[in-house]
Amino acid sequence: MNNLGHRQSDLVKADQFPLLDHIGSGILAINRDGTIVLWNNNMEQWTKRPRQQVLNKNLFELFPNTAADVFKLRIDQVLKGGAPVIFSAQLHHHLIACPLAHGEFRAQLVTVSWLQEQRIALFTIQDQTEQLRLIEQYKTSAQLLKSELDQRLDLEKKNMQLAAAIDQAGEAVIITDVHGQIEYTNQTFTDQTGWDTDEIRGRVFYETLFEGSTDGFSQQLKLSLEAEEAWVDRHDIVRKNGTGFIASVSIAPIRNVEGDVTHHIIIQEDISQQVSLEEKMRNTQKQEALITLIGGIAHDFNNLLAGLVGQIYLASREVAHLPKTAERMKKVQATTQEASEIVAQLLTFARQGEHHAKEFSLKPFINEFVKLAQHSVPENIRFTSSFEPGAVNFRGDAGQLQQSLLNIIHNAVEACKEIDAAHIEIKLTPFNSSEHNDLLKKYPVLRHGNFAHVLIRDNGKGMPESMLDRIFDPFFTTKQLGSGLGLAMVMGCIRNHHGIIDVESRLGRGSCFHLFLPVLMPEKTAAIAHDQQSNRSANILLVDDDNRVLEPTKELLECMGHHVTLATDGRAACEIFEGKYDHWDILITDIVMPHMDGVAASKQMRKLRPDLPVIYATGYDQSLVTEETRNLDNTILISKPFNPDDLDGLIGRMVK
Amino acid sequence: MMDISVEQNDALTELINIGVGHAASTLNCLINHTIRLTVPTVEFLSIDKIRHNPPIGDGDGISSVSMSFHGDFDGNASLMFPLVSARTLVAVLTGEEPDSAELDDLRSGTLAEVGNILLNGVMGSLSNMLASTLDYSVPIYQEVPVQDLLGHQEAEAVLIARANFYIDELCIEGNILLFFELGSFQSLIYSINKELMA
Repeated sequence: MNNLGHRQSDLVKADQFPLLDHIGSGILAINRDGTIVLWNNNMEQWTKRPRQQVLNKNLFELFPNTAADVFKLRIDQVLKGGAPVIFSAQLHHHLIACPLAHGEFRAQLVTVSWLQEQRIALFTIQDQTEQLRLIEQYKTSAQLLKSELDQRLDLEKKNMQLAAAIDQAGEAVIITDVHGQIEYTNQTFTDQTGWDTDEIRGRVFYETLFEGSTDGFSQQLKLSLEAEEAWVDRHDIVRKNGTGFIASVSIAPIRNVEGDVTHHIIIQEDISQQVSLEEKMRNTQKQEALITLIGGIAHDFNNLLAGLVGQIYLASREVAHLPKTAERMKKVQATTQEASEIVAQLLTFARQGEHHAKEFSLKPFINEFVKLAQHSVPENIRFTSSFEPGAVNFRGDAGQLQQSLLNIIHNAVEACKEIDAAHIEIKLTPFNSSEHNDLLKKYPVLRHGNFAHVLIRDNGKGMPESMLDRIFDPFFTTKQLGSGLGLAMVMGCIRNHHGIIDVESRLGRGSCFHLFLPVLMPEKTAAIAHDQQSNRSANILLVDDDNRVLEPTKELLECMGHHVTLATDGRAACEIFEGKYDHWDILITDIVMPHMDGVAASKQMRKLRPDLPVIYATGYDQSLVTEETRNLDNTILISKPFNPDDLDGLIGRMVK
Repeated sequence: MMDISVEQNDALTELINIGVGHAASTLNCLINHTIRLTVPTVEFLSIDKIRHNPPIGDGDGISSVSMSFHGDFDGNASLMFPLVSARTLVAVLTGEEPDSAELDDLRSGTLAEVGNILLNGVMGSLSNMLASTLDYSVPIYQEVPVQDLLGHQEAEAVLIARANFYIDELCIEGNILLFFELGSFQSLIYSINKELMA
């Protein structure tokens, strides 16, 4: 204890300041040497030290933490008469240790001031324990609240993301209660059906959207919902305006955390386009099957006709002295020619016919066609044509295209019979994609490349929708005497030209055929110049695996004065050719043959004789001949059955 | 009245810097951050000028610690911070979030002590070096509009010292204002002159 040096006059008795016992702060005072001279009631209670125990004791010894520099240096300044100092609870917590329960101490805001008159430093201690505790409590609550708020914000964000995802989903989403009453629909649903959420809320979805379904179906669906089962199927959906579309619909129950079904979610995807594509695919497959079947039949038929034509030709020569028989033979020849034409149409449908592609402008072509078609249109039907400007150069078979247009005109004329103010129009325009959004959806290929649009429209009796799918099928006809090949040939021709054909028709309102033909830049037309015809006898190597063709053709050619050597396949032909390759003037060969085909054989021969003229005679698929082979010099492709005189002329031109 | 010579101004600046230096070392003892305090400028202005053009922005009010002094010269010493700066300063000293509401209570105690240390440093330096005897009131912490604070001051002259607190990477600007009552400014100048001559 260091209280011996102080003067008695320095001591301040607590009873000199009786009021100090009645204020809420702790009050103590020390003199210059640190001796405690005043200790009020609050200090006694807070420190649990009665004033008798602390008075005249040294503060810095009794409460050693007050001797730390952070306190002592500043208290010393006050003791030297300096300005008052403050020790805050926030920076120091406490100056005088006043123990509380749980080993804690009373938080204090301490002000130390020098009282010059009394020559003491007065410590005013405010208890801030409760204030700090409240602050701490508040901080904990705030932290908790913040954490909850963060979680809620996070949840809200996720919910918003989820809601946005559902609202912006590509499929229509419907949420119903357990009874199927609609509570929510997304934007796609509105786009698909025309119903706003507010309009349709509360309606039973299957009664509204599956309108027209049988009661049995609705009952079955209701039972599925009640059984809390998922349901997936395709179904016709009715829009608000009464039109319909086909959708893939899946219904699943939504369960709460207890596992009870509270709602149902319905995902509805418009699959009209997919169904239409599937239908298209089925039609294509059907067409392909027909093409294969018809192509095969036509091939065999052509070989038979080739043999027949040859035999008739020979027989005609032999009966030249019998006029009546010769006349009959001519009629047989004419009938055979008609049969050939029917086969030619079948081959066009099957995309296997003879294809004489050349470049021409569609405008003069259509102009000429209109003049020609005029003769087929009766006077009581108005027949008009119009053209829009634009380059419409086209590469294709003008003959086939003309025949195709004629077939359509014939059908239009047929449809316009018995119609007042009948009108058929043909129109040629460059294809404008912005005017034909519906067609672009149906035929996406129209987006790419340039197409000319040939439109043939009539105001005739039109066709029911059910008929539209079948009109391009071969042998489908509504005419009593029709062959059913006209539109099939048109379809084959347009496809052969990589074009698109589409038809619109309404019963009683007429029909409209759209032909989209790919327009090409002008190309140089390769031309084989065969100027002069020679009548000299030629050494011919004739190759065919079908004896029905081979023998009569040999006789035919020999009749014309040529020397003919036969081979039944490409390999045999090569062996014969190689023996004396300079001998041959021309090779006439079938294409599809066993062992070695005609193209391979001709290529092998041309290694020895690059200038060898070659005639490919095929009753089959011209597409098997590549463009490269087709463009070879001194090469011609002809279809069987061939006209004997034409063949002789061809040989004459090619053999120089 | 407010004209003081360059030498007098330099002397005052030095005295205040010494006081601020003491305050900085005291503050360094009690917090876990290195704190550096500088007073780059000191100037005398009339109270009217100060009222028309307060040295401190008055967005949300200001935070101030004031104590009056009496003796060889009379007046009032104040440390003023914009509230935003006061919040930042307390946040740095206590480690709390600067915008948390509970700091409202923390601020008063902490800023009162910081202000107390700084003002004691400045006033101690002035009174010691000028051998003046001064009595002080207990410091008061207030958050009020700056005009309220300046409004009731009846000072002949005001010494403004801009104090920069550098704590870690942070710089917080405060203002020390010493309001000298009528006659006290002359006493101060007289004391400075005496000191300069000595």
